Amino acid sequence: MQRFVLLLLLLAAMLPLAADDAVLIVPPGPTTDTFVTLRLNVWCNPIIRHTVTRTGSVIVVEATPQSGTCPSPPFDLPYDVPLGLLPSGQYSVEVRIPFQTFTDSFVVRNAGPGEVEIRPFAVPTSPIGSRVRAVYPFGCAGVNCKDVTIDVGGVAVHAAQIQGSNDGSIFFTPPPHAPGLVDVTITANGTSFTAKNALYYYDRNAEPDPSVWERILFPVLFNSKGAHGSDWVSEAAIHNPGRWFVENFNRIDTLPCIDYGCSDLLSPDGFLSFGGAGYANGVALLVPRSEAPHVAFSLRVRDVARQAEGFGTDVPVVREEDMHRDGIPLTLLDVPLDPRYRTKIRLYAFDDASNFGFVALHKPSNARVTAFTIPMSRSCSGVACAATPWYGEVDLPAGGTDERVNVYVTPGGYGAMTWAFASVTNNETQQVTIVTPDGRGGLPCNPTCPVN
Amino acid sequence: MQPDVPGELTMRTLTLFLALSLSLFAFAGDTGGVHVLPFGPTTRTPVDVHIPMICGFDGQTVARVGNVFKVTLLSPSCILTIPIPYLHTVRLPGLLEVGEYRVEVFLAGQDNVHGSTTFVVRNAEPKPFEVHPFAVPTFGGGLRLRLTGVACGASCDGVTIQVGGVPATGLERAGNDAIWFQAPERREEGLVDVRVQVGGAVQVSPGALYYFDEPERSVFERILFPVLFATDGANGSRWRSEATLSNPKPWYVENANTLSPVRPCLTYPCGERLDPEKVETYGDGYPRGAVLLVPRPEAPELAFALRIRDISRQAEGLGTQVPVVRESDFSHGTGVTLLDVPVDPRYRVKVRVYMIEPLPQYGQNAQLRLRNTVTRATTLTRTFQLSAGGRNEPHYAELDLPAGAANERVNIHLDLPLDATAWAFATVTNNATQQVTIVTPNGSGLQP
Repeated sequence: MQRFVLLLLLLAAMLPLAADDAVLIVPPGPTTDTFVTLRLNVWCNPIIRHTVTRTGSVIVVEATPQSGTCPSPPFDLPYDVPLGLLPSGQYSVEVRIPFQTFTDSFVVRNAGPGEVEIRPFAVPTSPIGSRVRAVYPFGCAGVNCKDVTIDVGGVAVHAAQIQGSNDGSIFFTPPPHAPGLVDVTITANGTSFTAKNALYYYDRNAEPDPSVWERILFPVLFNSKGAHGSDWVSEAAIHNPGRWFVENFNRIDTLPCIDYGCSDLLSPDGFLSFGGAGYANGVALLVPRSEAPHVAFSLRVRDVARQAEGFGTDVPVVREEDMHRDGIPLTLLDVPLDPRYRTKIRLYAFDDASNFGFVALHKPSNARVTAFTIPMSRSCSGVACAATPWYGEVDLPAGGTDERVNVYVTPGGYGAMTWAFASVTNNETQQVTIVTPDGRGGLPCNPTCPVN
Repeated sequence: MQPDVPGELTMRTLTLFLALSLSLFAFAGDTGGVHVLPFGPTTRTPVDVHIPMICGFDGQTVARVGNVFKVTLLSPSCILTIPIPYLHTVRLPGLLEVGEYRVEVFLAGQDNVHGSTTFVVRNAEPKPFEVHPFAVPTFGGGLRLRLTGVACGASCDGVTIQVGGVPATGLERAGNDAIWFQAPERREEGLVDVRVQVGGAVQVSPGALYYFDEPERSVFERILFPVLFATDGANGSRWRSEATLSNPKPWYVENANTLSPVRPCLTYPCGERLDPEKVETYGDGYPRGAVLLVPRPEAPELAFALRIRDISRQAEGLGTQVPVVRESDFSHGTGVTLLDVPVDPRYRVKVRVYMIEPLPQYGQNAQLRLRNTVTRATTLTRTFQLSAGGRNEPHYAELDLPAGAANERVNIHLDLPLDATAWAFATVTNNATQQVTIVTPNGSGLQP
């Protein structure tokens, strides 16, 4: 029995990868233009070598960790496996280490300019109301495009579903299809053009693939009464400037939905403004990565009880590139502790089931003032969890008059995608100033800082 | 000579356009319209060459001789009477190794170079050791470099470091696996290898450092501070901006310029050295914005903050945060969109527009369009130009929007010259309280 327990302990000590997000794809939405790296989140014994075998779209990594026991406490030892540039496709990854195997999958989008441009990239498996735009060398003849046939993943598009546009492009309704990547072939006057892996069909009821969808964080979408008679509302806006439809995975607005699509289907040049509600702890809009860079957002919080005094405060809508994903604390510089203000830090984390965040306050001289451990939680189920961040908040204690500190915030573990900001509210006027992170930053005196 | 026929190529139009293309391609080095993207390529990023065009061509060839790429555009011709500027993109073959490169663009049948650019490809591969900072002034300037990943004893006996073949001096232990050493002077700009020998073991990091006089765009990232001023304004307001910069790392960072208006410049290049683990503050001297040039390997690590405050009303609020804008936040070749901006007469709205190099080759006019958020109708169109700034300043324009109806809101669309690298924001100031709300772009700026 004693030997058995010893063996179990030894096995546990040799598990070098973190349980959550053991394998990260870097960048999170790779294309044929991006160098792809697999980041293995190692917690115990460092990996000392690896081999990679790629057979078609199956990638197998054999990793060899250093022998020995896990140090106490364990610390992050991320290990990068470079894969390089990959052709477009849907890849599965298997990472094998002694006694454990981790699997993941990801999509590599085609970034190269082809003969046919297809937008948007992602459509649901039952695409009711969806419209896809295609640009190819020959425009179609007339509005009805009688000279054009379209094949999507082996399924012909019904002729009645193909329409010409006044800019030479064509719009068509994609046929239902099983999940995954498909080719699109357009034939006009006997000449065919094929766009490889041009469309990605997704199941609305299945977990969204993070390599296809970017999470765009709206940090606060709420309306509520506050202190000193304040009446807070948030006002959000979304604009799709493209000439094609964009179909998001989810909805975050409060607008009534009478017909299918509603605001998850943004029309060309579509603009949507709405008052936020129901997401006081933040929510992500999942936008197809191929379309996300072009879609514009804005968010503002206002005290409408004092709307004659000001127009409110701009709050960033946070794209993934603005979030951190390496365990380095987010840096909020020059935050006041002056007793005339109340300062709240809000913490957000995706992907990592971390129950705690960490906030440290340092003087400009780097000496630590104090630190807090912050409980983080979320309430969601099923696919909605992909859009729901882990959330925590802390009210900073008032300090001396004009006192300012630098705040270092760690909302989650190494594999988490994190963000944080401070709101500084004047106790009398309710004017809000926000402080957001800029740059990787991090503690200036890692690993040890002087205390006070 | 026959009169020109619209849409038909004639000798006169061809001569005119060739002359025009010559003049429009007439720039030196990497300051003209030809440039590479990304601005700071590495060994893991494909490199695209952007070539502004007005005339057509029929195919191209790309030849490489050493680190020089020759792009030849075949059969150039102009068939339109009114040329339409466009951008031609050439992908350089493969991933490039660490080094300094030059791209020359030719029109077939002509010997002279019509456009060119130079750039540095940084090493993104795993290295035997790290050296920071990446950019070193050629005069050395007493800069101490930190090498991480090599252990040495108290006096670092038995360790030698060579920088581009020149032995480094002043070696000093900087912890368990780090060494300080003095950056040697160097006559020429460019990449150098760093070689470390411990006993009989030799390790080399290729292209580990870049010596500079001029701030090469592919080495230094442009970081925009949109407003750095101290001025008195309307209704007794006294505006101040407070900028904070933190270098959290245990090494120095050598910027190619300084934003401190009072710092004397006794050497060239006149950069600013950020001390390790220190926080700096700025606040004045650049009401049209200022551009800080930070070495690209160190730029992501630095943290910034900027706030504007009316200190005559500081009891009422702490002011408004203004973003410090990194290159990745600039739009490139698309435009800028600001959503949901009030034009209510209770507020005054000012739009500030910034542009950094590479400057557009064709046309300098920009256009502002206001679209009502409810009716979607265009309510105002205004053409404007950005003016060149002084030292450390971007190209800049500001526009005050006319007041609209009560509670009216608009989307602001800025159509910018082809291939412009630009950013903009709007300030919304309450006429009574002077409270400022800003509206910043979020998205590529693609215009509807």
